[in-house]
This record gives sequence, structure tokens and C-alpha cells, in this order.
Amino acid sequence: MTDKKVTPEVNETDVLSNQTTFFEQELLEQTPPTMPVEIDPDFAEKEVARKKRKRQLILGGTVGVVVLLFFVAGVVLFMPEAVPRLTATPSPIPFGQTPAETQLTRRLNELETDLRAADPIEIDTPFPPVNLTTLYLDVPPR
Amino acid sequence: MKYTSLPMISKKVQHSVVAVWFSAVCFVLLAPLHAQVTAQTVNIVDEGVPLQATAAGDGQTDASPTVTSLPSPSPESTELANLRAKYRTELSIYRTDEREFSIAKEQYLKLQTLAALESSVQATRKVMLSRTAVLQTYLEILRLMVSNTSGIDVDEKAALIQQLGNGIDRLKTHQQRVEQAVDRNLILASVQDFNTFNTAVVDISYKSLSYIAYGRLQTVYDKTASVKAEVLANVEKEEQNGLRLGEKRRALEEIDRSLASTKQNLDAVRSTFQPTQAGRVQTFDASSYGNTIEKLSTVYAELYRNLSFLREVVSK
Repeated sequence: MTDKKVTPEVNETDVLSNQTTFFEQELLEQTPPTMPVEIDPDFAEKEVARKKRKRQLILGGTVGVVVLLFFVAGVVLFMPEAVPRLTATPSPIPFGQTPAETQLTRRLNELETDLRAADPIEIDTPFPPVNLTTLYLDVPPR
Repeated sequence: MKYTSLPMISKKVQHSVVAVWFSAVCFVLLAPLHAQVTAQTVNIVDEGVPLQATAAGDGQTDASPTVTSLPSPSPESTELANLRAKYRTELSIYRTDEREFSIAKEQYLKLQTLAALESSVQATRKVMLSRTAVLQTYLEILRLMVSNTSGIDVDEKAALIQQLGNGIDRLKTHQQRVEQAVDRNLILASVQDFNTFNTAVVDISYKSLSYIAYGRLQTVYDKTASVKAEVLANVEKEEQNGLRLGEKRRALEEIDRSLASTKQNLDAVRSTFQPTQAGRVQTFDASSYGNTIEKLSTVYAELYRNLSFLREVVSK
């Protein structure tokens, strides 16, 4: 007695003409054949080394950026400030003015500065706010 | 790079790394702004109005040395700055002493004990001394300011400086008297002594302030007249257009009239400082000083208008 299952012979024409089945129909449990994969025995070590290198790169880059930041900040903060020059810089002659007129304009500017400084409303030395009359212990006789 | 995919680094380190990179980006973005602000500051200085020192340095090219040879109406010397600093300190001490005096006097009036009396006598002596110091330094400041202010008649200035010197001497005498006042009666005598000359101190102070305000404007007036003469000379020399020359001449004549009016007002103010024809000496106080300032404000406005007129003539 044979348990061998006899599979019916499948005709290609029948298959193609059969409208109730898909072309590449498979059973659910049936897994497709896979190619054999070569497993590297040093894969884990290489992976660890790769990640370590990546971490070193990131940390190194970060440290580099920090150092660069401090350097630039130091340069910006401790850079000697631009000292305003008090020497006379020749001002360009305004359009349409002769040198004499420019000189007069400068005089007028100077005059305006003096005039502002002489504003009588601006009292820079008011009389001191001291008590001149009632600073006594006993009322003085008149 | 994905934030969560940083390999084998703890969360804390990951946060730090991200913070550092974020700071770097912010810094890179903000650093140029800082540089821009610094550059603007420098530009403001460079493009500003020429300093007085600069203007003085250009004296060789001036058409006329008249204006530059006139001193500034309100010069500020080192000595004056030192006196001002001294004055501020003394005024601050006086305020403290005055508070202590008020408290001591109030306690004495309330308690009527010998200890409270002694305390109040000492407090009165102290505040009187600090008041004298304040007034003395104030008169010294005024003396220096009067001395430095041009535009005041030489004789009047000398008389004013003399009066201020007398005031300072009187205050020194009073100070010695207060220093020796150790009891109630001597303090009372010192108070009486002060009352004999305090109005004179007020008078000379306001007189000096009035003269200083007047002298400053007088100086500006003199400079304006000088600049006006230069503008006239320039117009006569440079103006080629006959029509415009006539226009400018008329404008300068108007300025002449305005300046004459200003001069009259200045003289009117000055006359209020002098004794009257009947020989009555003018008194100076806060009220009279207010009147003087009011009149001088008119002069100030006139000088400003004249300056605008001159600018108009020059820029035409």
C-alpha cells in the first residue's frame, strides 16, 4: 500500500485558461525559496568598531565646534574697540557750495553749539537747596 | 542624521551635542549683527559734527580768526569739575546732617532731657558746619564761572569776583565761629551771626548767576555779529548773480536790524544789574533772577532766529 499522493498532471493550457486561479498562486504556509546568505563571523566586531568610529567623529566634531566657538567669542569680545579719531577729517564740500561757504557753514554750526550751551533756561548751578532760615535750636531774637 | 539614531551615546550626551550645535548656529547668525552694531557706532563718530578741537585745528584755513579767538560762552575746566564734585559730596553730607538735626531737635522738644539737649546742640552745630561748607564751595564755583565767562564787562566782572571773595571770607569766619560753639548759647550766637549775612550770600549768588547767563548770551551775540560780517564779505566777493546779490544784501540788512534789537535787549538786561540813577542798589534773589532769565530767553530766541537767517543766506 502506497501513501504516495498522486498529483494530477497540470497542463499549461489548462492553467492559463483557468480564470478562477492566479498565475502565481501559492499556499499560505509555503515560503518562497531564499538564497543562502553568507554570514561574516566578524560582523559584530566590525559593527561595534563602525559605531565607535561614528561616535568618535561626532564627539570630536562637537569638541571642535566648542573650541571654535570659544575662539571666535574670545576674538569678538576681547577685540579692541574702534577708537574714535579726534583728529580733523576733511569733510567733503557739500554740493553747490564753495570752500568759503563750507567754512561759513562750519562757523554757523559752531555758533549754534555755543548758542545751545548758552540757553538761559538750562541752569547748571542752581542755588543750593539748604535751609537758610530755620536751622536753629532756639529761635534767635529779631 | 536622526536625533534618536546617535549610536551608543547616552541621552545626556546627545542633549549636550544638540545644544552645542544649536549654540553654534545661533552664534554664527548673531555675530554679524554684533559686528554691524560696532561698525555703526564708528560711523556715527566719524560722521558727527566736528569737535571743537577739530574746528580749532582748522584755524589756519579760516577766513578770519575773530570768531575762533572768542572763547566758548561756558567753558568747563578741570578745576571747575573738581569743585562741582566737591560740592555734590558736601551737599549730600548736608542732607544727612539736616535729617539728623531734625530728629534730634524733635526728640529734644519731646523729651526735654539734658541728654537730648546735648545731642540736639551737637546736631545743630554739625548741620551748620556742613551748610557753611556747601555755601562756601558754591560761591567758589560761581567765582570760577564768572571768571571764565566772557561777555561780562571787565570792571563789573572784577567787582563781582571781589564780592564773591568777600562772601567766601565771611563764610570762613562764620565756620570758625560755629566750630567753637560747643554749648546752646554759642550755637544761638552762631545762628544770629549767620542771619546777619545770609541775604548777602543769596544776593551775590543770584547776581552771579544773572551775570553768567547774560555773559554767555553776550558772547554768542558777539560771535554772531562777527560771523554776519564774514557772510557779508563772502557775499560781496563770491556772488556773481546781481539779482541774488541784491536779495542777499537785503537779507543781511534785515539781520542787522534784528541784531540791533537783540543788542538793545541785552543792554536792557545788563542795566538791571547796575544801581539805579537814584543810587539805589539792585537786589538779587530767586524772583529777580527769574525775571532776568525771562528777558534773556527772548534774547536767546532772537539769536536763534538770526542764526537761521544767516544759514539761509549762506545756503542760498
